[in-house]
Amino acid sequence: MSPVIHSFQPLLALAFPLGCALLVFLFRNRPNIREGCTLAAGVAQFAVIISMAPIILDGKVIVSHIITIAPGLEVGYRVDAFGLIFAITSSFLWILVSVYSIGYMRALHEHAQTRYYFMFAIAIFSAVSIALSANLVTFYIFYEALTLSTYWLVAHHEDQEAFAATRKYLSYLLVSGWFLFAAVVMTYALTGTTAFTDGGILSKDTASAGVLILLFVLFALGSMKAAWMPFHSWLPAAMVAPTPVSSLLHAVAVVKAGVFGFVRIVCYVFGVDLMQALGLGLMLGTVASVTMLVGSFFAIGEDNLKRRLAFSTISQLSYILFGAALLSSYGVKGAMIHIPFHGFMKITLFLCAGAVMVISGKKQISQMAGIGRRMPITMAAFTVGAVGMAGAPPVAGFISKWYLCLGTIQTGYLVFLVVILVSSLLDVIYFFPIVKTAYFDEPAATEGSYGDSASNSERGRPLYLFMVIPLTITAIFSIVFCFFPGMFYIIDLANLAIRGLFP
Amino acid sequence: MPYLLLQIVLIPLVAAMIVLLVRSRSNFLFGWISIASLVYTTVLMIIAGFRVYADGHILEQHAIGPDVSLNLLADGLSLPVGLIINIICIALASYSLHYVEHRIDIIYPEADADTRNLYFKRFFFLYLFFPAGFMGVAFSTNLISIYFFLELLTIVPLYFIMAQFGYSDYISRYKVALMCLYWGVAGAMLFLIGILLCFTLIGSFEISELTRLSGNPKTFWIALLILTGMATKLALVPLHVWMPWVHAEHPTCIAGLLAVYANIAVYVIVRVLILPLQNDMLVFSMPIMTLALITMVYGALLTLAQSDAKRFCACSTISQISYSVFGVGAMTIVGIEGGIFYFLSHILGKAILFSTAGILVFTMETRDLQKMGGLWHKMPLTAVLWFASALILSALPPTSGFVGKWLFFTGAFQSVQGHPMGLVLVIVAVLSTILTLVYTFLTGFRIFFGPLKKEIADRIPKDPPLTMSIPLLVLAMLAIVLGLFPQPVLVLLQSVIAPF
Repeated sequence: MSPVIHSFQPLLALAFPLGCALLVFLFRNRPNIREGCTLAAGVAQFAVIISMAPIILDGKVIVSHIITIAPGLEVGYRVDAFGLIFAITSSFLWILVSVYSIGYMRALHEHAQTRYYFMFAIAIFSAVSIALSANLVTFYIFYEALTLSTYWLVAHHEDQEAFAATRKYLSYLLVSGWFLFAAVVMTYALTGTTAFTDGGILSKDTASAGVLILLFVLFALGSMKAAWMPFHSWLPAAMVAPTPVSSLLHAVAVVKAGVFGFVRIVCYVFGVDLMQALGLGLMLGTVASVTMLVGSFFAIGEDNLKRRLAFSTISQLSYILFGAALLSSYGVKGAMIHIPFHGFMKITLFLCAGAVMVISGKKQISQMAGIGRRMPITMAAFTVGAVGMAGAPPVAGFISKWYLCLGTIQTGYLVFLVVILVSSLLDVIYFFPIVKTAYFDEPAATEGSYGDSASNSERGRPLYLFMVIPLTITAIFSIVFCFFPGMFYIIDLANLAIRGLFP
Repeated sequence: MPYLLLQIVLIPLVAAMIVLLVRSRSNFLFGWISIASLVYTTVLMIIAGFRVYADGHILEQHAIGPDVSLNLLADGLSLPVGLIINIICIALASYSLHYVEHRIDIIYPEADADTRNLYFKRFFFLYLFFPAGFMGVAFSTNLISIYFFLELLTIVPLYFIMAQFGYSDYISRYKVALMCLYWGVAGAMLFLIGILLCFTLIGSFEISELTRLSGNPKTFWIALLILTGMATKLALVPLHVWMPWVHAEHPTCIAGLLAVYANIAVYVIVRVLILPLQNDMLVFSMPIMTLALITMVYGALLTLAQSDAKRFCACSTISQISYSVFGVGAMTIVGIEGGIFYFLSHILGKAILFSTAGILVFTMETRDLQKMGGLWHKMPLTAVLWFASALILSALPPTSGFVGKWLFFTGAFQSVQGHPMGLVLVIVAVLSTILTLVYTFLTGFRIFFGPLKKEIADRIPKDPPLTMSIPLLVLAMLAIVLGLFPQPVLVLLQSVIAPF
């Protein structure tokens, strides 16, 4: 067992977004101070979280217990390597998304911006809490909090379309939350604990195989946030939200929390051995494979850029589930590092999509002919993201795909190797036409459709810099991660987590 | 303090007599007398609570007849139940002050000042029988006195208050009041037959003697009779018919107490049957849980179909009561503990929900939920109350409901280990609890969000007087405190249930 340090650091890290929410509310009439608070809180939170990494890499575990409400109902944080990977990703991307939000929300003169920043902070608070939670109960509580706080973000436009989408969003995610609750209670009733442990808390002696498989199915249904098929349709529907929210949903918080939770459950509740013994790895792997392929096919048919990205996410998330399902050290490692890497790449793509929408007003891919010349930086960043999604060097996606492929070989299911390669090919098929349209197609006959005014170019207004700079940074990071996967300690943390899981 | 428990039971009745005898022009004085007496008994109960913590229990013996007694027992089980119910009684008494005025204005518009005064007096005179009855049921150790207090509750406050201050016209009000009376008496009658049968076997009405029944083949039938009797009170399907009617006809200020009246039967079941006769009761575990599940789902669906503010709450009660029945039906330590805890949480939440619905009826003068909309900006406090109760009833953290739900489902899962069908039953039950979330929040959104409806805009809706809202806020705070720090209560419950 790793030595345990009791520290207030996790609480400090979480105090920032919570305090930020309060300040946002207090300064609701002073937009500049309000956004300043968000940025400051983001930087501070990231600093605290990254400062925990050396301690964790030293082989220790940071614990802070908050409250024991009733027997079994314990709320507390426990920072381990895997959780820290997700926390680092979320907190870093929050800073960039906040900068981007300033540009996006102000350029579009969106209403209810205070509510927006408030709920954003709460969503980040919930996401980081999920990352650092010590047990299933804490995990469950913040899982629900995340659903409820993002509800307001998805419903931001408050029109018919937004409400229809949020109805779907809530129906799926709340029902899913109830499945998760059932699973958590059942786990507690079976084992008397809900604390995440290396190697899992359930074992073959806990209950009969049928009961354990039923429990796993409950957990899987409780993880609808991971958008595995056929429970994915809430995610494309949620695209009605403002673009920074979509990127939050996809890269930082919601679906990431879903897959993060799923990997947690596979590795730290069930444990690799038990999964193997019950044959659940194969089951999950099959579901993930189907989602990867079918999600990609759906993406090919979409003309709306954001919806295409949504289906791409559905497909990419299943890479992570897939990696966990391989139950081999390389596979799980691939899954773990794909969480940050996919986060960085997908956020780049979303930020680009948003920038294109705000600056040129285009939402459909077919209208984007020649836009690369108008917005060279944005489309360059987009290309980086697209290359990364396909898993080609020199972008971070290559590293995670490499490990996933190694994982399939390690496990011996070569059919899964085929699946992953075909899926990357499909990624190429639906991403590269966008790049081609943007750079090589002539704009439609009316050149004037872009307008000639300077405000239609990405450097047209200073405000646009708030959008262009973050997406440039994420694109650069996506490349840097390929060459230095050790940045932000990510690969080291993943290695540490793997050593714990596969001693 | 001498006769601590006897005071707790009898002081409300004494206060009722005072209300009857006092002459005052101030209508509210009667209410304040009731509140003062209840605050006094609450303080007594807190004192008793400290003693129970120290010594385990307090037993007071007051013999009445040869086999009948008014022995009162305060232990870890009866004390929290009594305390929470008493606090709810205080809150609703304060809430009633304005609400009764509103009812009298509507029902007896032609009444002059003296007659109005008389109605106030009548209401609070009757109202005080509620706490007396509840405390009697909670603390008595004698089966006959439990029966007596159950009947007292049905006949005095329920029947008369409903008949005089209820909704609809004169005739249907009396009809529904009678219907409630019949159902209540029928349930109590089954209980009475059960305990008389039991007396023929063991020759005593004391609960502590009931363990002697254990293993007797007739115990099954006795338990069945008592369970059926209590199921009538609990409104388990198919014995739920009276509930929507009765709840809809009540003046809303006591509707919260009606939920207590129905749900306290869970406590009686635990007290009289499950604790003394654990092994004989295990046969009933599965049937009770199945019936509870059916009621949970059916009640929730019924609620979803309502557009009447009061029937909405009534149907929700049907469903909610079954949560605690489900927990108790699991018959494991944690399950019973959770069931009782959920019972406390439910009555807190339901008192708030009902009263908030009452506030809406009070300000809007309509019971039709469909006519309401966009009230958030006009009645923020009311909206907060509604959503607080929605949180409590749908058992989300950090409210007491979550703790209760967690405990009783843990217990339920423990009890069905090894039964695949039972496991599925419990899982379905967990999933069905989402219906509560749906109906409370959906209705809340319809009432408080969206555009302000034209028909009600000219009423200029506003928040109610503080005597109505503050007590409810206190109840909501209590539910949240219980949700974060339930340990003191759980320790008490455990001290009685765990030896089992």
